[in-house]
Amino acid sequence: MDRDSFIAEIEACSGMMYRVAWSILRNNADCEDALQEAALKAWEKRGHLRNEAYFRTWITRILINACYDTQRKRRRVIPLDEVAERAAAASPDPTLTLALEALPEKLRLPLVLCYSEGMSYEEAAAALRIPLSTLRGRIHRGRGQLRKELNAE
Amino acid sequence: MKREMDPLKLRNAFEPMPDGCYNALMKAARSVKEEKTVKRTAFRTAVVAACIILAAMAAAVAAGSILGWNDFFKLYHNVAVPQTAQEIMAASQPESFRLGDVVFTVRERYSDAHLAMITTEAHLAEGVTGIITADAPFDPISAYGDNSAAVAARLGVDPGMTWAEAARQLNVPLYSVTAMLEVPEALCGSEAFADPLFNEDGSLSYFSLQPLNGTADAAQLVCQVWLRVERENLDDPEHPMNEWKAYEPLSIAVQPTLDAREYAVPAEAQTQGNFTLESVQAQLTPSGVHLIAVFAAQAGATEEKAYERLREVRFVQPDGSEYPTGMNLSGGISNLDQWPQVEVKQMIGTEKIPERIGMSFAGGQQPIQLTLKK
Repeated sequence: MDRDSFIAEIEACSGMMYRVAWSILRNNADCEDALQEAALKAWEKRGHLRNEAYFRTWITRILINACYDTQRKRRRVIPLDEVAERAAAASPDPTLTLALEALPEKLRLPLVLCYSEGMSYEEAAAALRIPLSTLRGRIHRGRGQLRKELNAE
Repeated sequence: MKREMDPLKLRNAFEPMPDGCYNALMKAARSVKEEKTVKRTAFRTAVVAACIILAAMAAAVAAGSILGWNDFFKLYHNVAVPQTAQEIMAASQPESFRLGDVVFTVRERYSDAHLAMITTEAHLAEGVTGIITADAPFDPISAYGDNSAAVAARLGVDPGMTWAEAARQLNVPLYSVTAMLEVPEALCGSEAFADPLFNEDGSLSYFSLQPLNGTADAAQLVCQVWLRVERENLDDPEHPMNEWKAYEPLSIAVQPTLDAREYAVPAEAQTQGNFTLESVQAQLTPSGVHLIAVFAAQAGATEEKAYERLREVRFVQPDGSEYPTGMNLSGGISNLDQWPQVEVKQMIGTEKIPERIGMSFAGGQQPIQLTLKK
């Protein structure tokens, strides 16, 4: 993959990358760090990408690892309520934002990959490095919990 | 007012990407520089090679070429199988079952009080030609990840094709198979998983793992493997041409717990909302170290609150860094059946019980340090 193609692919995935990073880190400062790290790591590892058609799944996997690295290095403690309210204020559907934020990350992330970013179950399982059966279980539980959160309004 | 979840609108939960994040990402992307390109290894793609692979599927498989748990963990999860567990699995006696046009062989098996796991290799019986896949024959070959893209290359088909399309192009039957370990309900712990990988010759290794609840104490775990074969109807996914199912009995030697210790719980860790941390135990088996935190629900506690409060409990190294992941790939609240006791379990990939560990809770607090009782 040459440099121009790489930049074009990153730009095409930028929105998706932000939403995935936000789903894990929940603040923009950390998202900036993770997004930068992911882009640099992806370039370094571009030789591992066998088929450019799978760029999106591949970059998602790299980004998730970068987010966890950022989480480990995090110094600030962000009250969860404050995070949720700030996010809700800026989104088109604040109720949905709060409901999604209420889910544990283990259930939130598969929903975001499949239902916000349109990945197939198999792509999402590959990105998350979990078995397909586990992904399906988490989607099922996540949908149930999200429905419960929304109907609690 | 009740509201239906419209999955397609989940994107509305997010604000638009802030300029700061976009600029940071694109600045990093534009900062990269090209070096001398590395020549990539070409895959074999000839149709002749594909025919050889298809014929070889019916032949006996050399044991050394079959992927096992060690390969599975290295490919997917960066988990190392402890040497003792590897030796136990390697010493397992293979046991074969024929179901329809497929021969299944249970190769590796392992169990202790906390988990049970097997690998089952599936290949077409002698004289049968075709393609064998796992549980999504009408999904793209590439959907299984890196391992199946190599299979597509060896078959000489586009990885974007579905298995059914590949079978149609090659004019061969398509079989989908499943091989899952089933353990008595009374011994089951948290969620099981099953996942396939493709061996170099096109056969399948099916990996099945069931976490257990720590109560298995007999010398042998009496369980079964659920086997399923479907010969797919390429024109009608809903109505396969043939289907076979069977439960085959299986027994797995239960490895003993090698060491069991308890950590002292400091006062500052004892109260977690409506829950009291009563004990933190560690058990060492050949598969690794199993850490078990037992909480007691107090007045006002509910199962929902248990989930809210305790879902992010994690055991970490004393410096706050993560432990290597344990083979069961899962952790968290494992047991609400013993309410008001709530168990949170985590397996770590270490070969001895750590003298000191950290325990982190929701809210980003610094981990609490725990030390083994003398």
